[in-house]
Amino acid sequence: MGKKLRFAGWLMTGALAITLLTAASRPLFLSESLANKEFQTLTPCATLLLEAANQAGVPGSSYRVLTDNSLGCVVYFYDESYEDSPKRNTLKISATNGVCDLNPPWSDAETIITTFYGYDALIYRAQLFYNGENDAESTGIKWCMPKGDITYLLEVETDSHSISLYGSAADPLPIAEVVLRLAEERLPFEGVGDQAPPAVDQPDEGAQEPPAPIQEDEGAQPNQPQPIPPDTSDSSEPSSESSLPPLVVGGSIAVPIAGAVAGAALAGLMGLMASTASNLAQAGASAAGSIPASPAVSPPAPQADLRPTEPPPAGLEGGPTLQDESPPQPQPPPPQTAAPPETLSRFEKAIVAGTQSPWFDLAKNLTGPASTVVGSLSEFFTFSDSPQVVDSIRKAIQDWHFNPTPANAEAYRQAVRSSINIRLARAAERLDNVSKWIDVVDAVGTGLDKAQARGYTGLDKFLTVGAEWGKKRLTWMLTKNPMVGLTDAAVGGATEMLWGAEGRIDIGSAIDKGAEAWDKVTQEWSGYSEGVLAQDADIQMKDQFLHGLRRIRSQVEQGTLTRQEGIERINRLRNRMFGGNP
Amino acid sequence: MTVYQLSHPEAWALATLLHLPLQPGSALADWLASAPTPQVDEFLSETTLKDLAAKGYYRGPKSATPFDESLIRALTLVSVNAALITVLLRTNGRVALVRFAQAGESYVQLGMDESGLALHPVMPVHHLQQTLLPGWFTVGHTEDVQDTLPLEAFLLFTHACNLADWAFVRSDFYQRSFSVQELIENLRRSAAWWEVFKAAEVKGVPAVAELPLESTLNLLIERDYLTRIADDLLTIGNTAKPLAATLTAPESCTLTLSLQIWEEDEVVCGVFLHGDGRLFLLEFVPGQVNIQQLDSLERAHSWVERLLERGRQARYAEYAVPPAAPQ
Repeated sequence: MGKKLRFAGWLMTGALAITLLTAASRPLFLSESLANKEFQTLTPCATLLLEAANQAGVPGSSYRVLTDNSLGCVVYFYDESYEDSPKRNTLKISATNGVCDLNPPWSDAETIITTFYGYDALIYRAQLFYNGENDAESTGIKWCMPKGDITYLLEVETDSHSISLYGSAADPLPIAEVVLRLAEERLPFEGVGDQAPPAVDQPDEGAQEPPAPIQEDEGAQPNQPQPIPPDTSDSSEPSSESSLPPLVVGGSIAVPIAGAVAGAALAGLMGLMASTASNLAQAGASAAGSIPASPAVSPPAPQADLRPTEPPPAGLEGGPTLQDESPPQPQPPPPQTAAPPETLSRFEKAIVAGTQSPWFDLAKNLTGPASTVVGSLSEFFTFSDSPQVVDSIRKAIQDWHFNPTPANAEAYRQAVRSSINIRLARAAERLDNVSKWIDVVDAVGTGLDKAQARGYTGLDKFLTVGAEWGKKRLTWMLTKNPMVGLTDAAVGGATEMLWGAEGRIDIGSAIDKGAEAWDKVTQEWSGYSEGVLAQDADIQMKDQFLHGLRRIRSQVEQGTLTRQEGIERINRLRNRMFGGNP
Repeated sequence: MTVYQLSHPEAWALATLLHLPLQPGSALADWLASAPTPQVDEFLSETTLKDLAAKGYYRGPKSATPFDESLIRALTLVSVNAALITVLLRTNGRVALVRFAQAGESYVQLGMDESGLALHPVMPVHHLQQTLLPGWFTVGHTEDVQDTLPLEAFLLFTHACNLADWAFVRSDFYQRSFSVQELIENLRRSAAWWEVFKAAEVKGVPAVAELPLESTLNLLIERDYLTRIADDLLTIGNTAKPLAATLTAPESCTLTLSLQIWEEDEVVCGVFLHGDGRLFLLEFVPGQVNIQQLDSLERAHSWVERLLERGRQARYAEYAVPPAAPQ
């Protein structure tokens, strides 16, 4: 891991250095648009984000300002050239109430706690399920910036609704660097410090949103934000000049080097996240510095990002693109979590279902346990095609975590039940044969009687008998692995069958010691072989005549008992067990 | 040592919550099958959650690790294990049964009864290799016995050993001979257990009525396992005396090891027979028994190592993936 990180960091440092050299000779673009007065109709918060997106060359031909008020703002950028806006990039700033929680927005995201230019940060990557496909992904970085009396939470998230169709989500780090630079210059926002920020640090959390107006495209307003030149290439790499911190252009050599190193290290982490298994989450958590990760306890994040984007209204082909200088038309607001059930997204349905049982809420927040399962499988499966098997299982687990409903739990139960039954069918046949010979065993007889009374056949009969038989711990031995029973009986157990009272078959005497430490069991049994049994009259009377006999025989052979003493002891043993001559 | 105890509802709840890829034939699937399947609302209930919390396996939704990770690892292994090792330790009529689920380089010791599943934490297989055999299986002397007998011949020989002991007692410790007729009748009378395994379709187990007793007896005499001292009287032969002494030692102990691999019908099965300062390995293959006297415990460890190596390679032909949640 360390080597990988160092290697990735080295590569990224080099790449960034080349970028810096190239960028130094180019002018910043969009300087005109930044000066456009129409930006100024938004709050400084949204203005900052739009300006950052402009400078970073955020992919996406259109944007929406979801929230913009004194407590924060959310802007996302999308591409109208695709029907469902397959790639989106979301920028957020919010003033926290003093507690800046770095929780991943997706419960099973791979996360790494780190620092971003000295600020505590979380980078994450989640593979998502979208429109029946499970190759969507969301990557992002969140960091906390204390400025003045306010601690701001900033976030850059990039999405792809289908990696196979549209490629991976864009790299959020170059965009984040521009946001950071502008935030350094402009935070805290004027007026925010005069208010006590409520306990809101996720201003886009749907129904829990403070009553801030959703300014979707602000189409009806006369002062339209200056469009950003389009960048529909879907390139994950913004133009180099737009991602440069101003100090780089300004000529300080120390800052760009430090920035390049820090950026390279983070970029390396992002690259690793994209290529390594989900146990990165654990690695990230264990490497966490001052801020503990709390992914498992974060509330479900039904972000609007996952919902299919509403199509633009008729007559607004392409919508208010970043290039479109005509006033945009009003858009219908995005669906809220309080929408009627038939319009709820699958995630929202899961939330509704989750209210019925604490288990379903748990299922949505099992980042750690799910990682443990997948990581363990990778460890246990050592065969050549195991990565594919583990991956398919991982996807099924992920699918369940995004849709934990009672119906899906029932589907799982049924699937397990069916597969077990298929496996047991042969055991049931075997039992039918075996039961002809072992009905002298009480438990089996009881089970057969019950099965007979209930009219059970086949598998039902097996399970009924098995439940009784299980009390003697024989179900498995004779139906799953009769060979081991035969072997044990042939070498040692047959002696008890031979000498047991009334010729009863006594192969059910095995004591399941699975719960005890094995070395403790072997020591215990060592004691039995060394004479503990000699004082155990009860066992002698019931089953151990032959072993008692052998012990007396051995003592006579060794001279510790005279022949006469041996005869007397044998007679006592025999009388206790059989009440007469053998 | 931590040992996790789960009820059926708790195991169902955790398997469902974690969406475990339960393979039919895995240790967990087998145990879940031993009781009626509960309904979803029966096991995904607050009661189950409270029960798990009471045991310390569930730490609450605000915990960074809401469920014991070691338990999750153990549950994951027993849901996909393609190899199962069964151990029966028998001494003086007491039999301890322990199972080990193996997956690759890892294993989990487990125990089960009709109401509970006991799981130990995941351990590396090399640990099992070192601890499976009791350290007190020491070797005092060896005669380097090595042979193969038909299964029925081995069984007839063990009966002969029992009768020899019995004859010694009946004669007030004077002689150990017994009659051919007594040996044959004894075997037939106690053959019910044999029929159980015949019915269970163990390979190489003939029906009692079809046992070639006369030819089997002749084979044992021919190989000096039995010696005819008169027309109708037999005693244990010199060649077989080390084995007989081990089988009939008062402290005789057997450790039966079985490896089940789900891709094969055949079960690897061996017995370490310890007694009278001797150690034998009896390998049971369909229809016959390979007898090998071991001169040290290390040789026994080598056999265990080979057994575990087969377990390492075990896998299902095709792995069942949990159902995808419909949209």
